[in-house]
Amino acid sequence: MDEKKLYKGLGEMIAARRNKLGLNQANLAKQVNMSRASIANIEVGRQRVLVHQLYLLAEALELTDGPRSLLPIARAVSTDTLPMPEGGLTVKQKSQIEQLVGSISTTKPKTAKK
Amino acid sequence: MSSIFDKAHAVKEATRILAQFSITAPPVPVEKIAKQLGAILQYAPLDDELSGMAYVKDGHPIIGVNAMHHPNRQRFTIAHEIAHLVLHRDYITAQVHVDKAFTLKRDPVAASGTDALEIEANAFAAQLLMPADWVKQAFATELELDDETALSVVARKFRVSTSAIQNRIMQMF
Repeated sequence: MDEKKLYKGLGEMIAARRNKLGLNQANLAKQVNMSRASIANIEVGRQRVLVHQLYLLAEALELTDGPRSLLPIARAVSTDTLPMPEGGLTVKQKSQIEQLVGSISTTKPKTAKK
Repeated sequence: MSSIFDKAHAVKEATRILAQFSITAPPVPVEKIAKQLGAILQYAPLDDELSGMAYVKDGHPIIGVNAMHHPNRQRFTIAHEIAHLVLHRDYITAQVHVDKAFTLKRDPVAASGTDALEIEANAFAAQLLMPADWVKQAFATELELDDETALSVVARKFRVSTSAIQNRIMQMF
């Protein structure tokens, strides 16, 4: 898990949604009882968000399904992206190979022989 | 990038692996060899063009094989990927290595850097599955048969395709 990527991704989602609603950082800050600086920091991933703040933000940003849609998908914040060969493979072939490698757990190998 | 490749070394390594696991007669158990070398073998349905792949993930070698291919072809693929593991471990650690069908058949002319790896891997795979001495001996005992029958008899003995055995003979003589 890449925490930096996670908070940056979350911040970007919050900023995008806020802009879509035509709110400025000060407006949003007031609604969730935080400072404008905090919102600014959260939006660039410099400040970590507490769980209750996440719910308040989702509410202020009028997200009907709660904080869920603000969260980056697990894959996007994963640290182990596969070093795939450059070129030569179609998108389909690439995803087949990624699936194959992804299906193998190397943390508890069945055939750990040295 | 240099295009130095060492076929003789590849052949020697394959012979060494056979000795290491006390394999003295065909068919060579390539799956077992792969596992004993610490590799995790995984079959998955892949695009027909793809034969297999090799990658060392967190220190654990993974060999992927196209589940849609004929078992004889899969055996050659496994032997080829074992070659990458034995000869080119650094290379398949840095990057996922995918083998397409054509890389298994390519003519060893005008080799570039990656081609060199494939040429070495093919030389290794051929020797691992079809050691030169064994092939010669196998044909020597089938002298009374016509060429085509002898080919298929020997191919079955080694559990490879007849075209693989045919290529092997052409390399050897």
